[in-house]
Amino acid sequence: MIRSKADGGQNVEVSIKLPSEKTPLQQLEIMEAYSRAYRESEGLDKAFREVNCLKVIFPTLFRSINDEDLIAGRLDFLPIGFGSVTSIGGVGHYCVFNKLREFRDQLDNEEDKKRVDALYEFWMDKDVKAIYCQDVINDTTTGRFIDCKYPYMATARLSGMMLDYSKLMRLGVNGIIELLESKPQNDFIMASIETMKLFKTVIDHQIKLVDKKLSEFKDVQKIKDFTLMKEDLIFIRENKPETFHQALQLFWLYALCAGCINYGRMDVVLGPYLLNDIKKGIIDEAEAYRYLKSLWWLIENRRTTVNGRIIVGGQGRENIEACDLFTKICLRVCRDTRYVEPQFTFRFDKTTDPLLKDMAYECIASGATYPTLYNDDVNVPAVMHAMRVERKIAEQYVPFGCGEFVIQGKSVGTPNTLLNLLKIMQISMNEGIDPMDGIYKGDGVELKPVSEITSFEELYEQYNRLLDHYMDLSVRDQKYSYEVMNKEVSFLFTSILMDDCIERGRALLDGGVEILGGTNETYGNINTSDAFYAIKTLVYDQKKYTLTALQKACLKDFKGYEKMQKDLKNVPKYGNDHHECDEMANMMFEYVAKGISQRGIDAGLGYYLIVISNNQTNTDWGLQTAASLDGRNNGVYMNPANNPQGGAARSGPTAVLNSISRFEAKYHGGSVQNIKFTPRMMHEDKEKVKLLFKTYFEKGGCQLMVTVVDHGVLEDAQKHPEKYPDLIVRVAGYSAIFVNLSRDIQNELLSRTLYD
Amino acid sequence: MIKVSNIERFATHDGPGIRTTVFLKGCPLHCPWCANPETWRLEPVLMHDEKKCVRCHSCQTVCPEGAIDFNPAFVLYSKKCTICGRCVEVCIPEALSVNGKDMTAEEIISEISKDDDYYRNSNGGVTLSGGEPLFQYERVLDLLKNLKEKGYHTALETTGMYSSEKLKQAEKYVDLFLFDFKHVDAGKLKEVTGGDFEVITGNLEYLLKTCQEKVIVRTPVIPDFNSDVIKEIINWAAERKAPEINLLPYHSLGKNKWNDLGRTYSYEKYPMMDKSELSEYAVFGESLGIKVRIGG
Repeated sequence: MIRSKADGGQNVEVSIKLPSEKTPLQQLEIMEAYSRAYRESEGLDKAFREVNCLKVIFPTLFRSINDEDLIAGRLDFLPIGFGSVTSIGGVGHYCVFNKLREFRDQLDNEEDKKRVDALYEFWMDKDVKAIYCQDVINDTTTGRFIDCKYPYMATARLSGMMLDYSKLMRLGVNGIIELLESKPQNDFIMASIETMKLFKTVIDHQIKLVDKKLSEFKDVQKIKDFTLMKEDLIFIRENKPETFHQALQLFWLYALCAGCINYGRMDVVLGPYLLNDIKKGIIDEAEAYRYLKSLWWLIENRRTTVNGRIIVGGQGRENIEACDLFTKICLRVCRDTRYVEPQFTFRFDKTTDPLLKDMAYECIASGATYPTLYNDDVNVPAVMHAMRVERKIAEQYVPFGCGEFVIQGKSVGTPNTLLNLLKIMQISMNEGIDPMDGIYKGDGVELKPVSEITSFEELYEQYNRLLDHYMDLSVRDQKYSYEVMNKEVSFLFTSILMDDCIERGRALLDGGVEILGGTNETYGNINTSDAFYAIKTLVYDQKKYTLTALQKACLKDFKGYEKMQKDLKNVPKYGNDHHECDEMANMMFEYVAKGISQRGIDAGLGYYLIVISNNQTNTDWGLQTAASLDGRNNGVYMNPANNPQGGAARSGPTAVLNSISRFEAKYHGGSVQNIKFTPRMMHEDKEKVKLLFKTYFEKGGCQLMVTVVDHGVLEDAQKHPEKYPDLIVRVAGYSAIFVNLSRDIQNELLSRTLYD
Repeated sequence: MIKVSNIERFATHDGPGIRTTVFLKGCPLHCPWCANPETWRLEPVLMHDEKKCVRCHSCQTVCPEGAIDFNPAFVLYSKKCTICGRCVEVCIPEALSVNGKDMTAEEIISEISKDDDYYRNSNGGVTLSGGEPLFQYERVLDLLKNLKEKGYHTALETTGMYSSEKLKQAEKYVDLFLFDFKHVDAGKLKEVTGGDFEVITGNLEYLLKTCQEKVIVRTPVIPDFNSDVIKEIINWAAERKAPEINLLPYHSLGKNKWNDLGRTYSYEKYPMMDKSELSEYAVFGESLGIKVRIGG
């Protein structure tokens, strides 16, 4: 069987998905129906084709409501369908080919298998990502996400969409329909009206599911809970939400239909309803806690691994009292549930209520890994500069996924391009050949052998020349991903709640979205700068080795050159507050950050920014990256996000935080940093640790994520995973249950310095 | 030049706030439970971590003095060793290291100043420890003066084992004394630690008379040494109006260093002491009007 270019793992998948509720045969029938709807809609506008396809999966794919749920809405997805992101299905009209093959293996009837084969073949040239990959992926420079053989990966996806749910609350379903009806009618607007009507059938379906449960229940509390659920579903079908529960219900169902897996500033959207209910005595805090706990569980059950952002706090909120009340209850839920998702995110600034900050600290100290901390005093001005927007807009920044910023309801910022800076360095020093596999990846860029290089500046310039080339490819392919997606789909549910699609009468990527941005994930940034610093020190300052000698040892993975490797390792490393070394890292950070940003501006994007985020790609990509001149061996993980290489930070937490806070936030679109403390330190030295964080943030720290774990626990968990089913660790841009991670990633986490 | 063993940033156990602790070389005592035995001598010392050693014998090959042997474990003939560092350079698994380096006061302060923002926010500062920080008296006195001029809060973690004149001079530049008081029995103190009871208590009493608010008495609680006289120690301090005494539960965290120095750690048999074992003394202290803190 011929395989699609897009066939293969496509996202970080740590948490195991819940299997579909439908039988394999039912699933097959749905996928066939979807494909039929797609085929039969050919010739129609893409927006109508989309809505016709959506009608196949909605409400059919909604699964039954769990007895414990307090909010209705659980959604399955299949290897073929419609979506935005790879974490739940795929992008636009998608076929996840490897998942379809796995599905095929579950079938025992040959006839049915042939039906699957037919679907595979049908989608080979129709899956949106496959269309993109066909044009972009090649055998030398560009891998699909995730294929780590290349220094550069590109993909088509629409990650990190955080919608304007306040608009949905303000207008209600009917209000949105009326708004759409009031606009000049075109295919997009008319299909959007159809979409909202489809949303009503989703609500109707939920009502039926609730009824089914109600007929089974005997328990008084459950009957009460589900009766409320039913009443509120009936209410929001026709009206704007009035209560906290109604608002939660409406938000949740819409997010599911839109395929959004990051939710955004929920305190802004839901806080006012909560406060109003409590003031009126409709519910008390204990009841609100139950609802939010249920939401937490629903989000956890979606198992989107690196997503599920709920963001609270920070600048640009109107009803602060209401928002803070919401935050307070979320913090309790977060501490009690200890789920890996939602990624609960706390924005704060100097004016934030100290009580909330203390609660956040306690939640972190309890080992929940959440909330992740975002410093608005730094981030808001940084976003103004990086995205070239006014303060009012910058205040609505939200980190999604692993830490990329978008403006809620206003911008697209999907990271469709990824660079491995360390691989680029190695290729630049090896006449275009990647030492990992001996394949030429220089793409025609003129690269001298290191024996002909006479100065550090010349070496650095050569690296930048190749980097420039890869940055050129990046911006071209980022833009192209939008063109491909736009040609195929309208992302109707998403467009409806994104400024300014309805006003402009255009779909999201068709000129609808107010700010069409984008991000580029850079990896190995610190290994690269440490390697350059080591070369500068040993070759050009101390003249201890020649560049050729170092390169030769490196190509041999330092086998027989252990002394040289030791010398390389002993050169000061980033993360120790060493001025010259950190300056090297900063210079290289600014080069790539400004290079990407300027290319975005030149290409007409709203913004295009690097993100120094990380999921586990530092490890996955490291496995296929050759030995490097920071002393790192072949195939070893690279540094996580903006952190030092594992084991390199040896000067205590103030030193590492000083190094980390050196990069100016205004040049990137999100950078994340981890730190690991023992429970002893978090509790016994609580006040000192709080002041440590406070000072770090005052010094320009933009973000921090804290793992709290005791000595030896991770080591023991490797040996006895059965004893640690709920040990949460922060990987980088996401948290995970330690024992669910692969051995390589576990080892990378172990290598990080633990402060006690 | 000041002989420095180590500089530890974000030290949370040696005084108020976030601090940097400078461990200085040289000590007049030789407490057998010492957690920093590498600081006893002024001169640099070679340390060898047997756990990391792969017995490749590179160190032995490269040593120009023939100071290293294997039998089959690593052996160092200290008298022959000149601390030239060649063995450290060739030791790939980093089993060998030299502890001790010469630094100027400026270099030390430059390192300290990296965390100024943290000290400011937390009312922290600098702690000089050791060894006995006043063992290198003149140079350390200069360092203290320098630190005070620059506005640092200074703490001295001290054995008290030096002349009263030295203390009187140093006192002007020290904001807090973390003063070790190990035993009430002069004979036992001398026998086990080499400390002179008269000198140490004389200095402590002087400080308690002249600037008691600057003194925290610290007592490491050591099994088979002073664990049976803790009440007497507290009583002694209370009678002299010490405002606070810290009881430091015995730990064996220095054990590896003893091994690395090729010396025998004689406290091997004692388990680490839990804080809770000492909680009764807090109540006892309260009855005498002295604050007893368990842990430092």
